[in-house]
Amino acid sequence: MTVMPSINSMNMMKEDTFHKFQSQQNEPVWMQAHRQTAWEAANELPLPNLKDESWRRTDIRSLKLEEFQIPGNYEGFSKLVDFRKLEKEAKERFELGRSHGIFLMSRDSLPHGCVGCEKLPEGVVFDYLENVYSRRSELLQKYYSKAVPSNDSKFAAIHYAYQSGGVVVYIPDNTQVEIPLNFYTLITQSGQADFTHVLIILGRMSEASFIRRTGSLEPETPGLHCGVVEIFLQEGAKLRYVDIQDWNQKTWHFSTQRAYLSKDSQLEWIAVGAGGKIAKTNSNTHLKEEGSRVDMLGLICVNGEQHLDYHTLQDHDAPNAASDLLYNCVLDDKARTVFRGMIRVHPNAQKTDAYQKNNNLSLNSDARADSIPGLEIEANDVRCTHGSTTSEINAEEVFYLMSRGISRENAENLIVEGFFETVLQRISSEPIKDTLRTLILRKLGLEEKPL
Amino acid sequence: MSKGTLEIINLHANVEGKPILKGVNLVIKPGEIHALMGPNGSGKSTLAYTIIGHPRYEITQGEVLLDGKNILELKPNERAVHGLFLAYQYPVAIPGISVANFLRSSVSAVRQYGKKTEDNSGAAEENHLIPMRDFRKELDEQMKMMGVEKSFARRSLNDGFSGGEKKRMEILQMSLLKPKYAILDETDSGLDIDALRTVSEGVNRLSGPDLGVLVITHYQRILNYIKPQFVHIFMDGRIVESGGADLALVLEDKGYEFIRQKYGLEINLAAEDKIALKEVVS
Amino acid sequence: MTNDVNEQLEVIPQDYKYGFHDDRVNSYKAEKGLSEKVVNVISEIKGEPDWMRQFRLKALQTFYSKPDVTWGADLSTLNFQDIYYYIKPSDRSERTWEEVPNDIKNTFERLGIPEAERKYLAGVGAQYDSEVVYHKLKEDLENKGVIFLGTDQALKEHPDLFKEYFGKLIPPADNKYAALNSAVWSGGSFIYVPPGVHVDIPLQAYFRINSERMGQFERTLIIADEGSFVHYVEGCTAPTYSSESLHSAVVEIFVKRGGRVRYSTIQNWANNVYNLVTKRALCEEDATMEWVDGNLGSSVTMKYPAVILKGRGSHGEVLSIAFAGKGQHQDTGAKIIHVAPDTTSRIISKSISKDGGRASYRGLLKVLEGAFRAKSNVVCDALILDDKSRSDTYPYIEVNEKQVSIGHEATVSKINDEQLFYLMSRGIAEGEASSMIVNGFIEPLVKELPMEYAIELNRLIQLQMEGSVG
Repeated sequence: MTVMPSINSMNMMKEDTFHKFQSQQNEPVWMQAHRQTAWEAANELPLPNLKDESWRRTDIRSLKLEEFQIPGNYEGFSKLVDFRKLEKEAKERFELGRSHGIFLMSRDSLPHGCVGCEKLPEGVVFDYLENVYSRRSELLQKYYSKAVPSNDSKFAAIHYAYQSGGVVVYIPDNTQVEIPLNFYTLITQSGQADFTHVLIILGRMSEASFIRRTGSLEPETPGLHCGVVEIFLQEGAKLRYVDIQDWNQKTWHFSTQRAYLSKDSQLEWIAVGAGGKIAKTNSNTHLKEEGSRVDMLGLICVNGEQHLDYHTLQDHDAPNAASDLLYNCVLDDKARTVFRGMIRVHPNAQKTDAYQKNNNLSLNSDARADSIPGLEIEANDVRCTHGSTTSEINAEEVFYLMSRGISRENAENLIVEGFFETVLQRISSEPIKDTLRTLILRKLGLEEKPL
Repeated sequence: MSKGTLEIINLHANVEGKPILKGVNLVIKPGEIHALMGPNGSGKSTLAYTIIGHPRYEITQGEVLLDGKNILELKPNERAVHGLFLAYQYPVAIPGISVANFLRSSVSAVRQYGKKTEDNSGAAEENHLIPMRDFRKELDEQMKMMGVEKSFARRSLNDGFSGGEKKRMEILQMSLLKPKYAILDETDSGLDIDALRTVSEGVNRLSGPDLGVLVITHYQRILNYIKPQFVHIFMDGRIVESGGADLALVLEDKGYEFIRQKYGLEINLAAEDKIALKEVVS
Repeated sequence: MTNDVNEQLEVIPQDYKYGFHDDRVNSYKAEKGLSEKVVNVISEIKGEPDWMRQFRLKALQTFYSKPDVTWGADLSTLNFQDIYYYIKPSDRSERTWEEVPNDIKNTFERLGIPEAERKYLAGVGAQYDSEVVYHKLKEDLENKGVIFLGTDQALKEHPDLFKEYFGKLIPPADNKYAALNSAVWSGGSFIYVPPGVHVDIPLQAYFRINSERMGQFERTLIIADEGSFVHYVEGCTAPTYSSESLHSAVVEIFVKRGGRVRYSTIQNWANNVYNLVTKRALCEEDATMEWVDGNLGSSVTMKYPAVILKGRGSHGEVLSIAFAGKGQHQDTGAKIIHVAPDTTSRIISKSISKDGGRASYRGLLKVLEGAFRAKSNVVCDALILDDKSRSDTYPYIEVNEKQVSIGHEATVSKINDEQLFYLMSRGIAEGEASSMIVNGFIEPLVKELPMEYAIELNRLIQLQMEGSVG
């Protein structure tokens, strides 16, 4: 891309850029103020470095924030590209024709808009944040940035300063939305930065499924994602949240994700890590009230020189809550994964039932898997267990399959598939299971099932 | 109240708020052997656990008297000291505690070895143990009689034991502790015919004019070895019919379904309880 | 003689405590606090060669330049200037027990040391504050070429062997406390076992801090030559003072091809001792290193015995037990580095926290590229006995090789109610039943200790457990 709107070529860490960006937003005073605070925090907070314990294993010294362009209004953009071609490609990329659900493209992705939103039940909100500033101002002010404050980290602060193109989901009390809600974000230009925010609020006894998927239009264009996901489940609510990180391997990914669970609410949280150059994802579940439950499932598949770093927290702050985590990673080439998980049980959280397991399957001697499963337990009447395994493909299993006539290559592929299958089996929705299986197989280069 | 008698009077108990025992009345005198028969899920094991004092069972009404004294306020270990013994259906495994150490502690506690004064606070329990030599001798004798290998003394308690070994271990404990009242909870379950014979012989050896026994069982089979004078049929949380030894044979012949219909009980029997017991036994 | 720990327990007196101290006039006490002057004085008194003095002075600078340790346990109340770095209780290290000064002898006799020597041991060393006061090895072992000396004495008697290994595995710059130890080290054991020699019964060292605000910095160096075997056991106690003491040891172990070393520790410092220890072993081809580490005492312990599996087919083990009672933080664990192919390791950690104590397992398991067919298994189990106490598990697993099999499991729970009920229904009172379950919980590790240490450990656990459940 040679011709760009002016703001897109400005250094995002410069005061002028922020002010120009802010002046282009048409938003309420509280949001302007929030951006301002975030901007100040973004300037005060240092970039994390290898001396920070939680960044010791992820080196981001080569990240140059000023090389990325903040989202603009893309004036003149349509003159430069064949919009229809782009739309077609985007639809193919996200399999819009095949998938099931109601779709929203991030406002900063092209094309954008909602497919099927008219089918939503009364009172449900599934829209761009910007579109509901005035319509649902009270709701937004109550929840926006309440799970992840703007001074949480440098990346969260930058996110809140430039937050744009994000989505809000609100399901009223006692409302069940059966059809999954899909939110797609596409990086279409080289050097594009993405600051989409995801805010999900489920009312009492409501239910919904939400699939968040990211991708890049081109395989080789650099990108940056600086995102925040906030989830609030009120009493008895049930959410299935699927987060598919599928950027190209030139994209930096920093995401802070937090869920707050009220009494008897349930969250099924599925994280898929397929893309990204260097990715850092913090996923925290706060079990704030009795009877709540979270299942955190991770399917991570990396190759090339990818580096994916996952930090998870199962924070038990109420009695009788349950959490169960299973993250399986497959590594090939020179790829690297870091899994750092923590089960924290506060003194009041008696009768906690918490489990955490990380399995790593390494396909190459140059790959590296770090696993740091942790426990911090301050209540005694609890059952907390964690486990971690790292291994290569089991030669006995390969031998067994080969003795049944299967080629070595197919046998190994079957075993890798089986490794992910143990996680997939825990997913309660068949269509989602199928979608994820297809995605993983493609990443493994096994588009069609062998045999 | 008669001396040396176990009396269960109008006993009601809940598990997690749900009533399981609904008014059990039963009197067992020294020297008597009673059988309590009932289908799965009727509350037989609940009765056993309630008598021995498991914290999960909440007593809502009624009494359990031993020698005329209500024991429901006592801790399980104090009940054991008073002469109550429960042979468990599923004995708990405790890795790391050897059978010998456990039995020595248990026997010393039940016999109140070396205990001078009873401290009601229960806090300052002194560690008075039977001298190892005496204990070993006794243990070796009893193990020999129960056909338990000597090496068992060193193994972790019930850890990795087969079903038969666990049951044998329970009866071995009974023979060492010499209770006044023994409740055998489904002691026959999971035993082959040889193991059942050994275990039954163990019980018979111990029975006599001073021991009261309550045999809880699903099938009539164990009653071929341990002969009860009294048989009670237990359904829906209470005893619905009592009789002599022949009642077990009636039950064997006609099955629990017959009893259910006779009393118009609205309980669901498991499929296995609907078929005549004769088939099961043979 | 039977193998039953509980049988042996009967013969141990009930009031087995170490909280006493004796008032004695020391032959030399350096001024309080840390300085170049103190370091020079220590080196001078010992009459060391110049290289050692320079080594100490350089280490002191390293200590000054390293930032405070901020991870792990809270060390903020530790004041380095409020500690005596060198106290010499006696002028020489004796070879016969009769020659040891009477009051020191009494202390060790109350701790049962010469008795233990007669009964079970191949050799005994005893350190009192800064210096080794007694060292003795059985004659037949001496004849076979086994060396078992105080470390200072070894520097004098075997200078070349000493210099070849000293500080090579844990250089002063390794960490702040290793630097401190390197600057002010005094005492400790030096062991050399010649090729093929098996020392079948354990060698023991006993460490005693007697003075208040004392820092003990012993330095132990073990070299097990090809195909040899030695089991070294250390015990430590201190009187209970109101002010803190510091124990910061460095232990380096070299296990040559096919050799095997087992190093067992029963750490029972008084509850005001900071115990910050660096222990590391290097295994050559087919060598085996086993750390058996029991931590019961101290206010804060930070100790992570390490094994570097450098030689093909070598094996490392860390078996660790921690008991954290009131006011205690046991931050312990293990570190294993797989460097060579076909190396195997095992870590088993059992911890118990009670009365507000905190037990943390912190471990590192690292497989370097090229260490193919490395196998490792880590199991951490923790018991929390009441709602005031805390348990943490921080295992770090870094795998840089695909052809491996690595497993880690950890569980935190309270005493199992069903087990407790079963024991109680057999007449055993709640307190005793709990104690039995706790002993059963650590039994797999206790059985790895020599009988008399197993008894001691069970005894100590029983004391810690007393009155725990009402």
